[in-house]
Amino acid sequence: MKRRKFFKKSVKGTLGASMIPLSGFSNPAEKTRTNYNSINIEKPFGNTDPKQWHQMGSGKKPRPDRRKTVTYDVAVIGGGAAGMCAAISAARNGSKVVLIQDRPVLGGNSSSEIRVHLNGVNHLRNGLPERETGIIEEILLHNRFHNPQDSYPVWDHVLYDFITKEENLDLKLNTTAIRAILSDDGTIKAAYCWQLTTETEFTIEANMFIDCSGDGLLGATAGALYRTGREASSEFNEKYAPKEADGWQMGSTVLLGSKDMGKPMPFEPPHFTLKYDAEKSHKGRQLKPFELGFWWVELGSDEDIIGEFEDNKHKLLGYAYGVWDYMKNSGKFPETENYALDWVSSLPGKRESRRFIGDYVLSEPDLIGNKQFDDAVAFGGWSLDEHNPGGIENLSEPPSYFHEDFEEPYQIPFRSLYSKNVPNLLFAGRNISQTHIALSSSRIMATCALEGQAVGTAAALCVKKKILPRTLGENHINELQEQLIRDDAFIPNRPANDSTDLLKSAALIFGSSTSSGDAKQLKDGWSRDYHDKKHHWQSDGLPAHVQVEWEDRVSISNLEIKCDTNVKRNLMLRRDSLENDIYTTKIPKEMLQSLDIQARINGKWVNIETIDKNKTRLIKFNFDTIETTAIRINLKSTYGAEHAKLFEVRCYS
Amino acid sequence: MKNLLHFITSACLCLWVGFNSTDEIKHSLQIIHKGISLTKPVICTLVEVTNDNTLPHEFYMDVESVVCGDNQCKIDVVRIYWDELGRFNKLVLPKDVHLEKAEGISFTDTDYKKLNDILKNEDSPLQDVFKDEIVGTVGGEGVDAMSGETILLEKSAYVKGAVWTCYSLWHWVHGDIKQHIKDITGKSYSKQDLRLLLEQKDYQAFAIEQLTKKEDYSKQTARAILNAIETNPSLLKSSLPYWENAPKSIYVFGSEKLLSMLKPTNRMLFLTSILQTQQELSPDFFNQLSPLISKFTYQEIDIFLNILKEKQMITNNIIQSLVPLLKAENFIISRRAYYFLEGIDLSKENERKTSDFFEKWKDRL
Repeated sequence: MKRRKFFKKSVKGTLGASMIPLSGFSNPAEKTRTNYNSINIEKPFGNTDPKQWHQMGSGKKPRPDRRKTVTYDVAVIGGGAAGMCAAISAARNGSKVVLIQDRPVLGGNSSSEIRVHLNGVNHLRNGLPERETGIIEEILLHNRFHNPQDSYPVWDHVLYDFITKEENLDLKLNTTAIRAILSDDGTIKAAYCWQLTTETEFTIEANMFIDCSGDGLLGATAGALYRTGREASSEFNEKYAPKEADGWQMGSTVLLGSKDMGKPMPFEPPHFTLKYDAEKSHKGRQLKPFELGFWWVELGSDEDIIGEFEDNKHKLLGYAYGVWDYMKNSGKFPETENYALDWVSSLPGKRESRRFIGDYVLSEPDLIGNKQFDDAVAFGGWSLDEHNPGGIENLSEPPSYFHEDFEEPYQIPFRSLYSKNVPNLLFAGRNISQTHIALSSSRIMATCALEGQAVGTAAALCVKKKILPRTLGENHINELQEQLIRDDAFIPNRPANDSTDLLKSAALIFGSSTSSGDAKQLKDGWSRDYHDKKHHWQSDGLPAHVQVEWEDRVSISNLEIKCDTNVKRNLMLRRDSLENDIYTTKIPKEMLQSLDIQARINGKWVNIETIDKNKTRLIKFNFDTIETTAIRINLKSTYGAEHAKLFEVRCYS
Repeated sequence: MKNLLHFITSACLCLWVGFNSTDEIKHSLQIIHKGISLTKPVICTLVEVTNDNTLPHEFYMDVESVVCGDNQCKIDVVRIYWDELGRFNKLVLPKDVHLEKAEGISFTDTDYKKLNDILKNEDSPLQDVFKDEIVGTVGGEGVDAMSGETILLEKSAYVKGAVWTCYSLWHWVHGDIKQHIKDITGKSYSKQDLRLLLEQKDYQAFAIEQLTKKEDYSKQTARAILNAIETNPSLLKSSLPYWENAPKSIYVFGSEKLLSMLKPTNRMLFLTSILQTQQELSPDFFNQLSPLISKFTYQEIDIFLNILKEKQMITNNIIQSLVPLLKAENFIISRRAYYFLEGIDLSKENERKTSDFFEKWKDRL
């Protein structure tokens, strides 16, 4: 009843607004509006030439046909964690890329519009993280340098800065890829897009399309096979799946935030508030801490979760305000007396909808059994975290079932990241080829980001080789994996073995001092300590240096170092700015801050390059080709650690 | 309370024991406890228990069991025991006192065992955590992708429901007090006592530290330290302040011995210390080291040549030791020697040798 009332009011409001000239729109009083109308009757066009209404000052049509066709190597749809990493990796690997995002900001669920923490393998069964590296880490570090205040609106622009500074990459915000235009051979020829803010229709042509949009509209309109809902347990031998397949998809959530105003703050709920029945609610719906909202204010669907989104959002807002009303007005939480809402999301954060079908469907046994894939390109490790069927409309059940934690990260194969039937369509994020139960773990944003880096790199390799993703996977998977690892992605149990790395031919590598590990381990292919085995060299104090000697002269124009950023500590922006053993809001103290490299040329040490404020784990030096017999990496300072720790050194001609 | 104590050792709450020592010395100390204040010291009383020889036998201190961060803790006075070197021994509770977890639940035997293990762990994750970093996070251990609510610490670092107790006690056990205890014990021992302790494995690092504090630079002591390092090379690092502060003659004596007896890894450490030393070294010192050059690895030769260049100690003896390296089996060693020799004044013969080397290997230089 209340809801009908809301719509009636909304429609009336909209009609009214459209009939009233702009000059009178801001006047709420009927009387004033009448006065304006009477003026308009006297001077129907005001002081302007009526022709002006049909053309711009320059004489051009005010609503011309803004249609543009643009061509790229790779088009990425969706500007969340997966899409950003896909676009960056494709661009860095040589493709001309466009990133199409239908919101005004980047970041997807992590953006200021939604504010979900960018979680990943935050903690395994031992309580420790196995944090993601590669592009997503670079983004999180970028945030630590530019957003120490932990502001979400600033985070939006940290991402904007990160994406727009990348060469070879065009960003189109407020742009929706509405449908795919297909070629006769079934490949996607172009994405037909609408940019809201410029009233422009874009036809974006590309060789490769990567759908990281979550809902997967582009892929769906291309005819890519997909599935929604829960698989039957018998289909993939999943013990946590229901006996019968059904349509249930985990819901979306409206988060909110409040702040202490220092004085009592009354709260009157808006009319659309839906009462929260705390008495009937499972105790897993924790009400404290209350300051940052309640993730379990969630609504899913048995049917068309995308089509129902706006209706569900209306209800979700009602539920969110309902819980807050309970906190403020039930009398049971006096600690909320001085608190007032200062942010409520208007865009629910989505967990699940379409899941495309690839050449492989990742499922629960793969995760729990830690299946080792020859084509592994990413990893995950968040627990199997399946939210309850019904969400907040099913109060008696716990809000989520944390079925299992993982002992170690599981692998994600490349075959789950491209379409089975649309040959040039790749995907990353929650829409990859996986079951509902696998999604309950892998949907986490940093995991999606790793998939994004994998498909972006894959797309660029496909463009270079003029092949399709399936062929890449079948014939060139080693090259894809090597490139990913070189770019600092981590593939569990898959060390690098890059034959073009000149360090492999070095006669000797040593450190000026050693407090842990061994300098030889800097070329063992592992970029982190793993399975309780050290793969690092750590200096004993600073300054220190690592020196590499070759018996013969080598030509080098590129030197790459992977330093320590402590992958056992999470870095992401959090609303509570948590600082403890496994979360930090600071720049990792272990990370190298300043260093330089020297080469010995004709017997003399020559300075090649200096970095005074390093901001990344993967440190790249590119320089004019030199002929040398030795290089020296001089480590001067970290961001606080006493010793410097390195995991890898590589050299290329 | 002194006479009615029960104590926790490894696994369980044991019977109380009587304690009847009259040989106790009280030390009033100012201690920084991370959980109380990072700047304002706490005044506390450390009790030294001496043995029949009036030497420190053990130490104890009575502390509050918990520096509470959420006003939900039950506070008891408990007694912590250390050995004479500041190593945690045991935690003793007054009779009828039991530690409590959240919601007033008593510690189980398993909890006591875990607490004991936590307190014995010098490298506990608790060491880097500040008090404020615990507040606000201990309330919930739920986990969700949306909210990111999470555990506080590695689970092995605390007894569930008693994180404040673990945190408080760990910082009492492993705080500034340890160095105070070592210094008190060190002062009680004579130089001769400390020299004798150099022969006992668990006391060696302590003895070196305290002999350095006592500035005992006699040859006898230097020899005893060298003997200790020979049997236990890991002591080299803790001995570096001793050599650095020693008179030059002892420094030279110790350096020659150390470089002769150490294996390459530790030799590198000592060569690095020579590169950084403030001692004023003479050409003779380096001349005496020159016979060692033929035993050096590439890394050692590299740093040794850097030392010579840095300290401008290039003598004829040294040059004569380096020239044969031009024919070393390991090419990178011979090349390193060549790079060093080509930049200095040489005899005609040595010049010819370096020229020959250049002609032969110019494509690899």
